[in-house]
Amino acid sequence: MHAALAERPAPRPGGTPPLMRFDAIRHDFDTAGGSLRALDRISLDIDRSEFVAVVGSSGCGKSTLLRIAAGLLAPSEGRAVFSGTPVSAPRPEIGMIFQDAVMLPWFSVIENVVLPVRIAGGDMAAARREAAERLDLVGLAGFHDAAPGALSGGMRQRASIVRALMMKPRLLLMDEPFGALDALTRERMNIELARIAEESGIAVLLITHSISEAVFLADRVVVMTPRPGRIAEEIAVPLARPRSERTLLEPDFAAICHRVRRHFQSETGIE
Amino acid sequence: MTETLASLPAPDGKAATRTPTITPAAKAARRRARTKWSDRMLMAAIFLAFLGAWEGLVRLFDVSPLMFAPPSEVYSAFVRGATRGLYWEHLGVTVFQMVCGLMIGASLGFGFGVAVSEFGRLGRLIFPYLVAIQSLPKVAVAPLVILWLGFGIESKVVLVALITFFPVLVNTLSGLAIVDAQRMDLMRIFRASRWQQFRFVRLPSAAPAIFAGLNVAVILALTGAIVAEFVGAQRGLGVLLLQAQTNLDTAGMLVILVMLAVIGMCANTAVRVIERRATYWVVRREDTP
Ligand SMILES: Nc1ncnc2c1ncn2[C@@H]1O[C@H](COP(=O)(O)OP(=O)(O)O)[C@@H](O)[C@H]1O
Ligand SMILES: [Mg+2]
Repeated sequence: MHAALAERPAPRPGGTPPLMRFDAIRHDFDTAGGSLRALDRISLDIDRSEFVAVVGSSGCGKSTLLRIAAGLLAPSEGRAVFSGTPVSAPRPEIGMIFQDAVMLPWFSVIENVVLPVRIAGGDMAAARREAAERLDLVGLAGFHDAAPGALSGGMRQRASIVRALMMKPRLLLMDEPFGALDALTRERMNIELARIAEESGIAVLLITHSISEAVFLADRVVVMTPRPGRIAEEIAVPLARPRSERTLLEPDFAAICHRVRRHFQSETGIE
Repeated sequence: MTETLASLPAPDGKAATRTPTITPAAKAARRRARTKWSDRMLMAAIFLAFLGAWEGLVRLFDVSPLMFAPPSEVYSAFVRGATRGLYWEHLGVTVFQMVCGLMIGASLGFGFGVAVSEFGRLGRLIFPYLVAIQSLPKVAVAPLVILWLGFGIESKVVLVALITFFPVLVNTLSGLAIVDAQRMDLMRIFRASRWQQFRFVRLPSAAPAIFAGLNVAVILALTGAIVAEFVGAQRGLGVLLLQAQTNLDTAGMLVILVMLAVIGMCANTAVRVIERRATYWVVRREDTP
């Protein structure tokens, strides 16, 4: 308890709470072989419009952390606090993107995109107009009424980002969103995501296996240790915005990537 | 990005025609149409060959008309019966019993399946009884049901409902038991109510399994109707079949059998058509019959 208190980030000036605060989170799973500690002493703040990337090897508890942030899972100890109120259930201000897009095959692309509005009982005509516009913007013009199965993985993931934006979230949680895509598509998606985050001002908590992706997109990279997941280091990324292909050529980019990579030198499973 | 689309299978054929890359899809459609046409010719040829062989063999071996009849005899028996107006009422009764019983049994099976899977406690309480009734051969209940409800249509409808209830129930249960964790997470993220989770994710996920149950039920429905008529009825193709047997009218019996086969095929096809429309997103092999 004492250690957890000591690690808690200092309250910021003016007393405004951060957008998202992980407050000394510990999580244990009950498994057949007994209790498994997935997360330990995780304290982390995300500010408004901040882009935070989390890297860590497989099984270090990244998805668990994201599910706690989303309100899908209650931590064994500690709490996630969104804008000053503890997260106990999913809330509309927090959106989530899954690795494989999770489009419902019985709905067309646009029906999938407006589904959150339909569920919330919102204005469907307005939602359809907005969805159509946004789909056009991300290069899905002409695919509004297509079945999700007829789209490539990258197109599906773009549609799922549009779907998450329909709820006007203030924080977007992304769990290895581009992990299933080929390298070229992934690079294009990174540039697109950087643009969306910069233009919309939505804060992002991105989980990724790719160090270059994390450094390219984030304001801050959080490195996690293997089981139990703890924060090994938080690395600021002071690269200029807007980020573009040119960012990849900056010497600072390579230097920061190298600094993150040092944590994984003795491990496998990280690019 | 668009060039990858042509190589991907369109799930229902509709998406492909709506997208700009129409040529490969159109070509495939033409090829399919050609195969369909040649398939039809082949099917007709096989059917004629089958009739010819049947006719030829019966005549060649001089089979006693008491045992079997050639298709020409079956046909003339059918024409004789039809001109007397023998079949239509019985056919109507059997089909009515089958369709009514199936609709009642399938609806109840579906309803119970949903109730049992949604309200776990109810399920645990009534499940032993369902298992007990399911392991009972349902046609064995026919004498009892006919004792209660008489020789009319009602007893047959009840029996058909009883027989078709279980395959639909069991398949509804197993279909709803499978939950895709990610889709459910998605529903929770959108803060969907239980009903919305059911409607948008769980029911469509279960639909293919439910239809598999319905495909079994439709055949059981016809079997159930005929067996129930054997046990005791005044009208129906089962009654007609027993009458033909009593009159040593083998050709007449074959007429009824052909009718039953046709009814079964029509019912089966109807369910498959509904299935394809209701589960349009399911990718099926193109050559499934
Ligand atoms: N529902 C669960 N029950 C038991 N163990 C789990 C459960 N979910 C995750 N785990 C375990 O917790 C650890 C962290 O999992 P996860 O958060 O998915 O890791 P990551 O996303 O970093 O790969 C893993 O060892 C995993 O096996
Ligand atoms: Mg994970």
